[in-house]
Amino acid sequence: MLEVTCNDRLGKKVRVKCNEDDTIGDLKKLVAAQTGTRPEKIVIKKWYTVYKDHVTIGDYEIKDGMNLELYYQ
Amino acid sequence: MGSSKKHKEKDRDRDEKKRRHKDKERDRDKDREEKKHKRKRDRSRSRERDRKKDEDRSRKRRRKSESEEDIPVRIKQEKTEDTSTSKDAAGGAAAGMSLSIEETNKLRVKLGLKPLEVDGEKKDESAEVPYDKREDVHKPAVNLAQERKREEIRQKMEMIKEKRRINQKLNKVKSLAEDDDEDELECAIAWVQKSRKIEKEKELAAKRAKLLEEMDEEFGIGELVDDEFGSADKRRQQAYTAKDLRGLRVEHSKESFKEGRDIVLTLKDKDVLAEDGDDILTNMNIIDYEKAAKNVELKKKKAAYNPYAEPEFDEYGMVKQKEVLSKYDEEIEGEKKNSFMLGRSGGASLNPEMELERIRQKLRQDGFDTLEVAAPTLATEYYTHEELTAFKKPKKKKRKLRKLKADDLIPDEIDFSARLQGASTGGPDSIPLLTMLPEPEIEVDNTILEDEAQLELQMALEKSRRVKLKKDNAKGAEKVAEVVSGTSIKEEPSTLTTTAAAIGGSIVLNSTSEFCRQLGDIPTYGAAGNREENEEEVLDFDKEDEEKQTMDDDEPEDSLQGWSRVNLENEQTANLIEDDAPILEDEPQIALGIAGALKMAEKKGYLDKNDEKHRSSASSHDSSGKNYTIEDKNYRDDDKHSRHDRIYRGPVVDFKEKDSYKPDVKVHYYDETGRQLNAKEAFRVLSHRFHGKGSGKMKTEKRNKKVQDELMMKQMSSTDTPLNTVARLQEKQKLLQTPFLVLSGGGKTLEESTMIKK
Repeated sequence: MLEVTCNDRLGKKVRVKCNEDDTIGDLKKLVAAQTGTRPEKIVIKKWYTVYKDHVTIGDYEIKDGMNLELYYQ
Repeated sequence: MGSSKKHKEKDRDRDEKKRRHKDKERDRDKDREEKKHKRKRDRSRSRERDRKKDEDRSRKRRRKSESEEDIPVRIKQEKTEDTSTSKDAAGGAAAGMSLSIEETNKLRVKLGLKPLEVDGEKKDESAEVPYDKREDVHKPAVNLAQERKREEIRQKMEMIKEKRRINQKLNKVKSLAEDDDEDELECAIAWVQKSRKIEKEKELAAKRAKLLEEMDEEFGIGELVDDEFGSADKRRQQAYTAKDLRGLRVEHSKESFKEGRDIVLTLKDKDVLAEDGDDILTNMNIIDYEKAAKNVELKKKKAAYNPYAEPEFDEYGMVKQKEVLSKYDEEIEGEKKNSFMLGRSGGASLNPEMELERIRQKLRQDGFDTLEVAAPTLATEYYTHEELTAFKKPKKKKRKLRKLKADDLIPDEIDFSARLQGASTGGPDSIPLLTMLPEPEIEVDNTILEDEAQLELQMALEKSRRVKLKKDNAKGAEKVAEVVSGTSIKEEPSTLTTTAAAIGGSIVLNSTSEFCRQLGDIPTYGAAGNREENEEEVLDFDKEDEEKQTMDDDEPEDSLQGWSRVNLENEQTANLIEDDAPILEDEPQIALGIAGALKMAEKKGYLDKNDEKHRSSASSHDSSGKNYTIEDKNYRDDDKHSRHDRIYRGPVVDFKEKDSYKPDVKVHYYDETGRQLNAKEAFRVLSHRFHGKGSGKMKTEKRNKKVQDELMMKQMSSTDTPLNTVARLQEKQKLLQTPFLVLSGGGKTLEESTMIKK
């Protein structure tokens, strides 16, 4: 289990607990549940890499306590 | 129907509006609550309140998320929230919100995800998995020292094994020392016995031999047998003969053996253990020679690649195919050595090679591809006869085909002849003269002989014509003419003959006559065979001529002044006129009217005829233009060279006949007042007209004034001053009746004075 911080720099900052084998899509759902936005509208980025829904968090080597950027499309 | 639908829609809209309104109200309520909260917070900053507020917020957010997500999640997390919120509070407002593990697990259940893996459990799981079953197993690095040791031991073992094996093998073989009969050594008696036995056997054998000899002698064949066996003995003495040399290989080329020289060949050294090694004979001297030759060859430093090398021939005279990078062949495959086998009789005939050489020579001489080049000959500037026949000039560009019509066949030699004979010949009566035409063949010679082929064609045509003439003797000339007119011959315009002329009844087309025909389409009458047919036409022609004559009466000068080229006919007609016109014309009658009077005046020379001359010349120009077509021009261009009278060539030279003609061209311009303009002014006017704008007011005024002055100057009498002082003086004098005039300063004073004097 790891905890990731997702921050759109517009006032929403959420810490989400997730498994390593969760996909980014799952993470988005969790974030959506916590922030109250639709998961389809969420884009998770780290610098310029847009994380794709079908790839797991472990594969992206997202570690505990990492900050992810939250965008809306 | 439609209206009712509309109604419904309206109703719906209203409902929606109401709903919205309600929503708004709800929002307002919420706001109020929040405001209340704020106020409360302001009032008292107790932690409890804070907590409550946070709870409210989170609840609201939940609600929102639920509504948007369409997942009926309602989390009651008052207790759990406590910890997270407290954490948040510790982290500060910027840390954002996070759910506890249980909460998230619940959420995950709702979302259809598996629960979170807590770290402790995971570790246990990983521990449970046995080492081998894991995906990646740690493989310890190879200990090199151990490996080396192992290798040594293995080698030792191998050695021991080998030794044992060899020992076993050798055990089977008896050594020299330990003979098979060990007991013999032990008991000498046995050995003695054995040796005695051998002796006995020898003796027995000798006896037997003796007996046999005796028997032979008895029968009388002793000598024979002796002979037989004696020769065999001799052979045995000659251990090695030529026969034994069969199949031996001599490792030298055949060329190295020369006739009349003994060469001792020795067996070449080779490995003793080599199994299939044939015996090879060599000679040390020859080997030395070969080595030396090779060294010399190497010293030459030949180029590695020589594309222009002479091709090599193999023993059958065929060209050897050169292999790619053949220079390395020696290094890769080893040195190639010439060698030959010794034959059955122990010798190799050098003859076959000679034979081959002979065959090769023969093949070369046969010349499948001889390298011999034809003997060089001196290049000549001129073609030999054979070459000339073989050589063909490139054909000149053909001109477009022109249809030859029956009308074209009417000969119009008349103008040509007229031209030749000058103005002396006269009128339509001179038709018989046409028989004295210059032979068309002469003309042919003068014209361009473009090439020999054409001349040949000409000849062939002539020949065929003659043959045909002989055949068709019975047929009249008219028939020929008819045929020609019927079929309408198509002929190349480049051919020289195009006009009809009669040679013994057949029609000959001639370039000259054709040219003349081109000049003007006068229906002329030639000395052709179609004479009878045109009996009436002749008369017509006469009439026409006369008509022309009368027409030309009006302007007799025309023909003289016109261009010679165009007015050939005119010339002729002019000649006719001269012959026929009466010397003294009738005096025109004045009574007929003004026209008659004018004519009269003209005749008498009262009226200037100059203008009319101009006009006539202009008209002649026009007439030339009418007859001048592009085709004519071309024809002239082509015919230029063939014309015998060189003076008539080109426009550079004046026309001989028209020496007297010097047209005086003057162009006058007049302004609107009728004043004649000079060149400058005329140009100005033209320019203004062209550009569409005149000069300015000042300029025009100035010019007008100038013009006025000029006019004044012109009107001024030569006896008076410009101000007419003389006239005035005279007037004054007349008035005063005095021969003098008193002068004082100024006109006024003068007048005054005069007045005073009055």
